[in-house]
Amino acid sequence: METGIPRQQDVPETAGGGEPVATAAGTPWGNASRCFRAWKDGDRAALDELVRRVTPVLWQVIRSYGLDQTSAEDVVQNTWLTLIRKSDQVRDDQAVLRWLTMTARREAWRVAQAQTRSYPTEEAVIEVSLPVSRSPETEVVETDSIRRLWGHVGQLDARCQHLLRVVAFQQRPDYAALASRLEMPMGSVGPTRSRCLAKLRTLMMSEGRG
Amino acid sequence: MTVHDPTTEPADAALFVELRRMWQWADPMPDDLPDRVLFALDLEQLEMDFELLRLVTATEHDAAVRSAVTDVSTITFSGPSVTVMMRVSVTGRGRRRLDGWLAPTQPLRVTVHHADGARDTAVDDRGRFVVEDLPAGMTRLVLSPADDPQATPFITPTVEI
Repeated sequence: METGIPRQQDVPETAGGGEPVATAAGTPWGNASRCFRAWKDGDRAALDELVRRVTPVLWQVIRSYGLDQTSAEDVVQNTWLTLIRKSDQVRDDQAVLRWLTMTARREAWRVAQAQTRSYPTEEAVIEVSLPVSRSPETEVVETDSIRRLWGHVGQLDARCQHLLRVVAFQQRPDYAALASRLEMPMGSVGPTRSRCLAKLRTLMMSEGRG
Repeated sequence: MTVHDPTTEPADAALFVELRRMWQWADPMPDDLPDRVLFALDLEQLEMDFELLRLVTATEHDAAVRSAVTDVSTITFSGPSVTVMMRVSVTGRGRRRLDGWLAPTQPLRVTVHHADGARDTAVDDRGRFVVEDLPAGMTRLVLSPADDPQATPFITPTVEI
């Protein structure tokens, strides 16, 4: 990808109306299940496709825990190693993505706890370096709007940033796990997400959007 | 299976699409991460089916006092039924040559796995093998009996050459 803006190739698209664009079989999620099944049936190349599709999502989810680059890469690697060592624990092929993201989150949480006793607040935000835009002219406006969004998200508290990032990359958030991670009652994750989104929208409105 | 959370309002879904793009832009995964993961998985899968040799010795000569042409290190792997000695020579920028000896001599095929793929050669009747022009980096060898597909192949630990 030559533009500075990543495409939505590794996460499912949603249509303007919010309806799922494709059936499970046509999405990366559906493909992941197919790849996993093929790999278990002895097709080693299928693992290649699974890793290339899902690793970008795991990266985002893991980094939301405030891990540095090296630790995040280790968690990614360990997540995949765990999958092939314990593939029989994934009873339902359809659940392989959920299994992967949950394994990654559990491990990322564990590593984050070991690294810092406190909640990893600003690290995830501060250490990220904004890429220098190499985009052609047509991409500049788009980059600007993303850059502005980045500025607004940066003003949210760490808990909101973490929650929104996990939800963004995990289409069906596991509210029980999120709740324990954030040490809040399970019923309040939905409201918390709404509160975080509302805050973000307020920030976006107050500065205007392009 | 629906692909998004039913509690997500359409407007929220659109914002989450933007958020995904934002994070992928602001904090992209390192490009080579999937390749490194696949390398590790490859090796893990090999270990499930192979007899792992031990790394016995690895000597690293001080590159600073040698010319690039003669920069050489030696590595020895060993298992119950075979010992493999390897001399690693630097033959150019990022290129390596392997000279290997087996003891006892046995008819094996040697496959050198490296980050870019794999190279294959046969052990000659004196127990020697040579693989030239390999990329520097993580490497491991698989030694498979040339004439007995049922026999368990040997695999070395990964070494940096």
